[in-house]
Amino acid sequence: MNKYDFGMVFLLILFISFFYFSFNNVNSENAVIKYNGEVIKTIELGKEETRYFEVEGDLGLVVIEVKDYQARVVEETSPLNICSNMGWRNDIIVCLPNRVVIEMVADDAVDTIVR
Amino acid sequence: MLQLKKHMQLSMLLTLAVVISIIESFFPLFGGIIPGFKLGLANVVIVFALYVFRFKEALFISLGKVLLVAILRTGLFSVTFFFSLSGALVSVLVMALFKKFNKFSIVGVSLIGAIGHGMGQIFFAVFFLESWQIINYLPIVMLLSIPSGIIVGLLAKNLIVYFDINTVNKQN
Repeated sequence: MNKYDFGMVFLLILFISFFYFSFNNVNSENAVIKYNGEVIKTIELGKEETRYFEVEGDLGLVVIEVKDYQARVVEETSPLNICSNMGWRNDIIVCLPNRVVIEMVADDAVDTIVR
Repeated sequence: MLQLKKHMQLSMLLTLAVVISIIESFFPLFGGIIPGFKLGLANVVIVFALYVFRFKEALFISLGKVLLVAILRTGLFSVTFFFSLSGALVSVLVMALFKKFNKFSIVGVSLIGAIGHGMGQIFFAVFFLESWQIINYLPIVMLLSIPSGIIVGLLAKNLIVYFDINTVNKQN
């Protein structure tokens, strides 16, 4: 590795930290479920009881569990099962082979997503 | 005769990349704590080809790998296929570009290739699923790309030294 390589690593780390702190929204109050870019459902995330939602994806049903301002995918069919292995999240879950996205956003951001 | 030898070498490298890629997908890193994250050892072959041959050959191996792995594992023209394709394409293009600058070593070129791979995949997902929020994944993907890109680069560098190959295009 030469000095330019180390310079690149330094710049990358700088860029990543800037990016991380500017995009890291703290509390998501709503979840927007999308299939192929279209909004299927908007859910209010709350502290109340566990709820389940089903969305039809490309490879089958995607079952989403919502609880305590968080969501996770409990059941889906895909080659690598990446989205169900991610566990509880409160930012975003992507099931690429199923074309299903669960976006968790702050209250005021829903309008811009749903339009 | 020389042409035949080169074709043989390229097909062997392509086979190697496909086999490494498939074997690697059986072993999730860190016991699957980080879903979807792979070291990308097949990229050693692509970086190796970029330095031993040229851009064209590296592109051939990279695209051939995506195509063959798709046929063997995930299915041709599926979402996952295009996802891999965009990552592989951006990766090779960026590596060739940074190699042309003649400033970075093979490790730096491999590193930018790993970063390009992640970026290509994320931007494909953003446009394909029309969700800008996916960009939230970019910091973690880029952060993981730094060690994997460096490891891949070091492996490729040591392979070239081990086989004692005169890289034909050291200058450009």
